[in-house]
Amino acid sequence: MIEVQQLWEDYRHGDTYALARIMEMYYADLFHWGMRIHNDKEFVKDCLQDVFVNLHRIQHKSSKVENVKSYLMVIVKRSLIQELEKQKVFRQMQWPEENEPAIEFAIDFRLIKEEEDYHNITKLNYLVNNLPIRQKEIIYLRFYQDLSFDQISEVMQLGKQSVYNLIQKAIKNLKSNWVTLWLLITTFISHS
Amino acid sequence: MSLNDYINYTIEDFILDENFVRWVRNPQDDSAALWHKVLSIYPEKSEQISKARQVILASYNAPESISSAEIRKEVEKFLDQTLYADDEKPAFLNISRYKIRTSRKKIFQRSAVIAAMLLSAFFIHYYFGNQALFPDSISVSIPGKTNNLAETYNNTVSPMQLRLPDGTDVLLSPGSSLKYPSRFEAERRVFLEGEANFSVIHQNTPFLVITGEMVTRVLGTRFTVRAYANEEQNSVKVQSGKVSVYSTARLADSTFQREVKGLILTANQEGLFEKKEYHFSKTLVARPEPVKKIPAYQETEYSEVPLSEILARLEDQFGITIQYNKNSLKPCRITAVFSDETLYEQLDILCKIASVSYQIVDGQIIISGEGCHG
Repeated sequence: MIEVQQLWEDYRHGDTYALARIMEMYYADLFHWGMRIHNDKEFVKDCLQDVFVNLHRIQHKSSKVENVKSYLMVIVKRSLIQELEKQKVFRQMQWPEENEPAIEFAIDFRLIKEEEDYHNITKLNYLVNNLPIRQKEIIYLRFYQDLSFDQISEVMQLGKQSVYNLIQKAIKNLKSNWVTLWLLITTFISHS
Repeated sequence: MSLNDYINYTIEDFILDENFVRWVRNPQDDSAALWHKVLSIYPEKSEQISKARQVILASYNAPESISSAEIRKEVEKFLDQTLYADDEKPAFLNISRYKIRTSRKKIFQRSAVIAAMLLSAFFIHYYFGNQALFPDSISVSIPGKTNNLAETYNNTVSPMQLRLPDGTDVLLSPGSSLKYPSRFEAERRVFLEGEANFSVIHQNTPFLVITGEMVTRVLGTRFTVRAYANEEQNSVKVQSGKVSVYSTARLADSTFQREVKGLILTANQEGLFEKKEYHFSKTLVARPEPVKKIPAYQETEYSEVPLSEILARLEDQFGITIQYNKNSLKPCRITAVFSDETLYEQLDILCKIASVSYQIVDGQIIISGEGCHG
């Protein structure tokens, strides 16, 4: 974290290589994020290229940033959406769930222990995938992008309290569907 | 955070706890001990922990399929687009300031691989029809920059040591000639025919070695340029620092179209330029030298050491990248003693023990094969 902060400061003071290093560090994550917003590899790559070239252009005007990663995620999303809007005008493209990331969760089979209940996790997976988009987004940002609370609230443009409320809501949603499930389950931990 | 804080943890809290998520994703994570402790002190938490865990397992996203090579390409493309726009601007001053700072900060330097990596050089290609661009024509395209050139021709049979006005040391190979001004101006430009090794003094202004069809551009590093007019291949071997190789020719003409993709060269890598095919490729130098100072003669003894550990050490020592399948090499443990073996000799031995093989691809070492069993 501190290292990124330092790189950002170097970038702000005119060091293009520091920016290139930041780009390299976060490319995979930003690409993943971009693909959630618009599933087109080349399109996302072009957009990321534009984002960083533009950051380079505004180098001397750029400001201090607390969380580099979430800051980048915000501008990547914004720039993707702008680009998509442009295309929409020309090509009259349409897609559902305007501007919201499309997140599909899979099951992490690699980590499931034998004694754990596949059915339960499969069911949970179904439930998670059917949460409202904002709640899914929060789970994605937390689990996949490994963002902190502060960063999540920045990316989602929500107050910290709202983020927490939203996650509470998501869990509550899951819980109400869980109750019946849990009666059947013994936890993996009590086994071990 | 003290342990008894966890007594009040809800499922939500666990899910939002960075360490917890990391532990679920990677049971070998550093925080594993903490969570085992929490479980043993508060067995009543096991249900919440289990539920939180299952939520995490049911909410998995596979990484997007983008390879590190693709990412590298994108980063190079970015540098390609930005650095040339910077060339004549003070941005370079800032870059060099950065380099000075990083050399003071060892740890940071290591982490800023690309930053340091790209600090060095650019090849710039000229291609005006079939005519190579030699010093005289350079002076036509960039007027006023090549006045008062001194020429040194090495007609002896041994390398000739030169010191340029900026303090840069040059080892000029027999049969080669170097032209340079008596005083460097904004940019340091020298014109080489043949072969020379450069130890460029780090300065704020770039140092350019202009040969037949390419320009090698650096701020400060050690490298050898070989560009004999009668040879079909030009090459640049990097000894220290890192070099990025580009093929734009904006030096002469800002509207010039890029014809060849660029490369990044790090220490012990060699960039080859096929003049006929107008094509760049990358390999390792014939005899990689350690990039880290080690005592002249030192035995290294490995006893039942995981192969991956030894490979990591070699990577570090020679500043190169070794790629291999972590899983298939996992069971490999090596017992061996090395003293003054070269990198390739060490690799030969290691690969033999582990019954795998290696090849050099794109300036990296790729290890393939089933690996040892058990």
